[in-house]
Amino acid sequence: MSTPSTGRGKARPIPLLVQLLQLQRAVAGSSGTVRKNRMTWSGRIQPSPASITYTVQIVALHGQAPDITVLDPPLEKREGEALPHTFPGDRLCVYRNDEWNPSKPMATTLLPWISEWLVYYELWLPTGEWFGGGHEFRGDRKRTPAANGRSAASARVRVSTDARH
Amino acid sequence: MAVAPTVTEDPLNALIDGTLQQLDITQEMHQSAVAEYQRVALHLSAAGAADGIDVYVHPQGSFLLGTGVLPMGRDQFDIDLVCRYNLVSAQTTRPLLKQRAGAALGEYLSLTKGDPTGPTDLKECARAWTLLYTQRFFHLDVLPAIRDDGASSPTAILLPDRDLAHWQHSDPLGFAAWFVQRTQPAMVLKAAEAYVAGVPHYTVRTVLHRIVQVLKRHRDLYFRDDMDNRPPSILLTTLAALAYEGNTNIYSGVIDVANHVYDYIESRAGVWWLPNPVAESENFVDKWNKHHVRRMRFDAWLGSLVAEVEVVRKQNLAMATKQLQGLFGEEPVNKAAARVGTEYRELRGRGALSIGGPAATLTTGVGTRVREHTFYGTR
Repeated sequence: MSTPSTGRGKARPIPLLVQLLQLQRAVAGSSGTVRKNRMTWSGRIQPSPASITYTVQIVALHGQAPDITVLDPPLEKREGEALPHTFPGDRLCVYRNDEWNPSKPMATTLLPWISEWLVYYELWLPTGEWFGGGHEFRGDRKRTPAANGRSAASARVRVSTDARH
Repeated sequence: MAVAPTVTEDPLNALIDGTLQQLDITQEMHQSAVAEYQRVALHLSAAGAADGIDVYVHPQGSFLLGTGVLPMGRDQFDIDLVCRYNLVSAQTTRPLLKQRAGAALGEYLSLTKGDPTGPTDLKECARAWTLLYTQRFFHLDVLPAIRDDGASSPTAILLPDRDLAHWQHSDPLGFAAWFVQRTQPAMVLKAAEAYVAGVPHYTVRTVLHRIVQVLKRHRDLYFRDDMDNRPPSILLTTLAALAYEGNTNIYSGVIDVANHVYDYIESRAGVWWLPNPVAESENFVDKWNKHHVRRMRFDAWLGSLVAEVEVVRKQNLAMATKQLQGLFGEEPVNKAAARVGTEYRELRGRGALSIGGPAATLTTGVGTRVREHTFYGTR
């Protein structure tokens, strides 16, 4: 069992198998596999007592930023609008580059953030407003930090105190 | 003591409560309405005094109870006043009583002519008079009445029926006292909180108030094109207060009330009866006995209400919000949704938000704390 370092710089990534076990413990009935340095986990999340249950999937390669998607039910959109705080492919983006790296346990970081994302999504859908805060892109699509995991992995050593980088 | 659920325990309840808060009349509105009806009351008293009759004017109904809902669109808020003359039935007749009040209100209308905040018209209704105001959010319905010496309650009144053919027993102040007592125990808690916070008593809204407001708004929409068969607010308020059993959640409370109305409405030898809880001889479903269709329409409405609330309860927050937008209008619901969302975000900011339970549900109870983070993404 590894204890993740929260110190600067060279924190050691948590082995994917450990990440998987922690996620499985956190969400009842959830399951996954680790094969060839690739972790796939899926579990059913009910973000609030007034919400339905979503099947969420996390896929991660060793030492890299994971992809988070909602498998079921399909996420809905407002007409003519993209889902807020996502990457192409409707992958959820729940943290800024410097806020997560593979040394952090997914079960205590990504998982609560996903629940939060889902609550704000349920309120965004009927109102068009995102109440969870976060970085606003204002249509600037060139800035895509942590867009596909590789950049997040490198960002791990670049701990930034700047809110917007 | 039952305590209202928190936002994370019951976000849907918070959403409904927040929406209704947007539709409560504000303290400023309340004060401006009170100032105007006091001006009217002063004039009615002066006119009565000129004839040697004491007059006491007080509000009744939703304005007194705090169960009013601001109407959608251009409809005005209805404020009901009782103008109680200190007379007994032997001292006047129903037409004379009505004329007396009408004459005094007519004078008031001419006296305030040119005053931009004053009434713009006086309309005669079956047994009341309505002062209309184009520059204000309300109109005043003034119902002339006399004291009811036959009743044990000191606040009991006699008022003319719609045909001015008979006296009808009623007791709006007694009813209000009864209603407040039915809001227990939530009322005690809220009233105590309000007292500490220096909030006037009339701004306190309990779960029972909210249930009545939901019933009324749903009824307004359902009977929009069928005004004749629309069940009156006093009927809904009485049924809700009778059937309310301390539920701390608005939507379950609405369903409970709807499912139990026939525990209270009786059929006495084929005559439908729901006595005024503070004036036994007043029957709130009297009309059902002449117009059977009204009871059928009432039943159909209740069925539709329960079905809709069940849908809201079973869907996710998004669907519930959409459903509520249809019922209460987009603006108040969106504001309430913003409050719910902001509350979650602030809880996280204070380190008070966790996930717990088998499905990583957000809670302020025991669990894994949600650490600060920034939603990002390319859009």
